[in-house]
Amino acid sequence: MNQLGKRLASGDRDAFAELYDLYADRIHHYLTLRLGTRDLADEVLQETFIRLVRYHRKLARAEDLRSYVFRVARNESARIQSKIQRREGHRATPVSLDLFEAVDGDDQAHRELADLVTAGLARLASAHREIVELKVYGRLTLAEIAQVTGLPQGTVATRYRAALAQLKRFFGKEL
Amino acid sequence: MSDDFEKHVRRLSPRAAPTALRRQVLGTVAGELHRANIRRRDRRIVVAIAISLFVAVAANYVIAARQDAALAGLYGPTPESRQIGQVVDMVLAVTDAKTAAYVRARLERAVGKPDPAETLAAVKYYHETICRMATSAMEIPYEQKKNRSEVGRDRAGNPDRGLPTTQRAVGLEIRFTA
Repeated sequence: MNQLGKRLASGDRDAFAELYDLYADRIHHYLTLRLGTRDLADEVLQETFIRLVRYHRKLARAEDLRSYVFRVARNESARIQSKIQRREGHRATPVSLDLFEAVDGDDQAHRELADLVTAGLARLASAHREIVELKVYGRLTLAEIAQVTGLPQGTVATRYRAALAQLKRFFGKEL
Repeated sequence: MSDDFEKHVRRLSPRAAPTALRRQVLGTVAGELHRANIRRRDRRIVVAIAISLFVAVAANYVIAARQDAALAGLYGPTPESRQIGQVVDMVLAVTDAKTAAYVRARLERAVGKPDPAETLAAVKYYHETICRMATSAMEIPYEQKKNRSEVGRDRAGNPDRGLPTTQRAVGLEIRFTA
């Protein structure tokens, strides 16, 4: 990982391609959930990589490259979000098709489940939803989530447990 | 993690980023890297120019100092200041060689180390000393004064308005009325 950071810091183009292949899908999913649409997620993912290139020398010093990249994406999304908020006054809510792949034949049960999970996530407070997203789909550790969000690790763990309890109640009611 | 939630989540595969986005993002990355390289090259040029200017100024200073040292080796030390020479001549005119040498040494030291307080004190001291010597000097007869080489023809004046020669020598052309 540190080797990749050094290659990125030296301006190696292939290293950026490697970084994209490692994290782009997970970051894109995270951004879709945060911003509400895949188009905005595309835009912010691109901005994230531009930001990473502009400050690529710092990447050699990043202790945890994965959380660093997620943090940059989070900052970029916050910037876009506030701009949209000012312009439109509301935030779009993602639909299940934006978040989850359709299965072959698009079976009804699978689609209902995707809707249910999307609805469950939408019911969470945004701070809780972000932690669940980073843990489950971003596959970050609690320590890494703490670095990304700037929260103490204990707070992250507490919020994650609270979010899971809320989701459990929601699924128990719905299923 | 809640068993229910984990079970449901595992059955769903999150949607990946669009395939076309990869090429677009990596194209942008390549463009940005190219621009960053150009910026870095420009910055290097600016730094190189700044360093060469600094080296040129430093080399100029060193060469000038070496040339001064070489000239001093060939033609002797730097000549003394004309002002110091004039003051010493004036002192010599009214005192003796020992005092003049002392005054020269003090003035040269003051010029070498221009401490304002010391310079001002020295100037004040010599001014007072010269004035005292000038006013207390004996008047020289006009005929004698006329023949002295250090007194200019225009400054010799007339017999009736003669001033002490020492006053003329130090440039204190003051006619005392009392």
